[in-house]
Amino acid sequence: MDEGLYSRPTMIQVEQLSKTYTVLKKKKGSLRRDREYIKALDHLSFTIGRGEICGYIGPNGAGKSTTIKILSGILHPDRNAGSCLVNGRVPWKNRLAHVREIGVVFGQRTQLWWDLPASDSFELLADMYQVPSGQRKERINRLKDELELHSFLHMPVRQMSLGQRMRCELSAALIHNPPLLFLDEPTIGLDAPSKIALRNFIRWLNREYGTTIILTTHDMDDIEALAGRVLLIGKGRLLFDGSMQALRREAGAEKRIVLDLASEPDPHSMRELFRGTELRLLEQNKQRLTLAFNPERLAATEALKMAIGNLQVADLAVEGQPVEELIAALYSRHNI
Amino acid sequence: MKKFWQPYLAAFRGRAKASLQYRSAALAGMFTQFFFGLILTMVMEAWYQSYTGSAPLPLSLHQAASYIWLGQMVFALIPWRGDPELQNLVRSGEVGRDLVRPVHIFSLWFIRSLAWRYVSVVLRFLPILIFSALILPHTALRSIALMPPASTAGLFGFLVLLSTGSLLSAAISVLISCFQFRQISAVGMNAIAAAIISFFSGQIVPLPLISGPVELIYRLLPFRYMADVPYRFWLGSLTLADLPAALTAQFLWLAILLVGGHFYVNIQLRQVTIAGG
Repeated sequence: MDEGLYSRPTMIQVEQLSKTYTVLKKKKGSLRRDREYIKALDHLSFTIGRGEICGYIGPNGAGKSTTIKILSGILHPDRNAGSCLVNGRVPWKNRLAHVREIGVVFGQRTQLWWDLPASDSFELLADMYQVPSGQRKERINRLKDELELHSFLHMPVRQMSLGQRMRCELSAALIHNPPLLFLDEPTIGLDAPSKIALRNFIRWLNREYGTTIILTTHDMDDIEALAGRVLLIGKGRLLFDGSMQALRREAGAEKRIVLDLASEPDPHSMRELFRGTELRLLEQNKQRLTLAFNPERLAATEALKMAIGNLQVADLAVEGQPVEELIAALYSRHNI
Repeated sequence: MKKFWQPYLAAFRGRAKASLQYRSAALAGMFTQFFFGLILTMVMEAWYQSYTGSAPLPLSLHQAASYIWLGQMVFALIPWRGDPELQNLVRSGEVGRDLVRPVHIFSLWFIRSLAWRYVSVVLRFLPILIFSALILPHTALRSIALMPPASTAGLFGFLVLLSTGSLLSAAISVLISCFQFRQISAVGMNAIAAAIISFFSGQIVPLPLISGPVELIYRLLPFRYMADVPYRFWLGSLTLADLPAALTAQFLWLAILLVGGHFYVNIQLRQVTIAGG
């Protein structure tokens, strides 16, 4: 864990937070429904400092959205189960004061008036948050420039593309310049250029205003590009808290060597070649070989020497293990 | 300077603006009202002609027909179902979107419902007024046309009670929608509400024609205060002297529903579950 993160003043403090849902289950052929209790959050604790960008990850149903909903004051947690302070307040107790100082983007829902132009939504939201008229103009213009909204600002939201809409959603959540922003899968369904534009904007926002940002996503590129710190949860429990590099170490990340050979080798002889070495043959596809090694046990230069040694190599690349695989490995190790 | 109503005014403007987008729906609705008005007034005429009782009826045919036309004119103001936007919000889980706004949730929904009802009425009432009051008298159907208000005072009472009644109406439609927190679909709730509220507000049979135990029931319910009572001012069966009592009853009901609704919603939201992503 990075020391620096904890020297900041606290923005979010969660201690032993629990939330249980009741689900009604109907048995086949019976009219009776049984109650089942599902622990969405199970004594969850963490602290997030002001100005951090924090990635919040976990498989579907891990409790990510539940956490965001509790932190944003939408849901009440279980009674007498733990405590939670956001920006010095208990979210569900001081909802009105609390929500004035947070922004929320739910990637799968919209907060814009569907049949009105986004510009109308911005004005209405500025009124709702009582942004003084002087600041409002400057704020909206700033967002307009940074997110390049000019060309579609006056179009009804329903006619926008997803990328355009998501940029408007982000602006809408920021009209009142909240010190804390929750992003719940903001890049879901977006194409690559839109994702990159959105990430750049989030970085800019954090730098320019010191906004604390909590980001849930399944897109590990988002996390790698943005988050200095990652919280991994599963079954309502915190499984990992630290930097991306630490996560790689924790997951025992491998490095990979991809070789393009001059001619297609015999698969059997290739397997023989690397048998008993620190190099593992992951895949052979025509002329392309993919080898894996653990960088803790074998230095990259040694690995390269071993790999190239006896082969006619046309081209090569060394890469880290894709984060998706790391996460999948972590999920299965923790049995979630 | 911060004004506490600014966020609510914004909610009103937003809904009103959005509701104005649905002009063809308003047009379609209006034709339904023309059709219903004609059918109901013709049924009324047939019933009056076949009436053989000895006691005089409490309304003349012209009054009864006018009562029905007034009902069609302000039809969109009667909360015969929940607010569709709100019901959709509850069903889809987008309620969360409203909960992250710095406003009291019941007040927000109340204001939005009010905006929706106002726009719906404004889009619809004029053509029905022109048809029933200005065109029908020049046709063979003049006996079932809308008569002019009994007096200027009657018109005044009608307008005042209708505008305050709309508050009551908005409160009721929000409450109907909120009962849905406990349900999966709004269909059942809407069907029950439509039957009860249409009847007891006087939208189906003019309430002055009903006596006996049913009369007792409709007098005990709030629904007539946004329809039947204002109509009686137009017709002249209630006068300016009755206005204070009518306004008091409206505001009493409004207070009960607003306070009750506020608490009900807060309790429900404490237990609400918003599933998924």
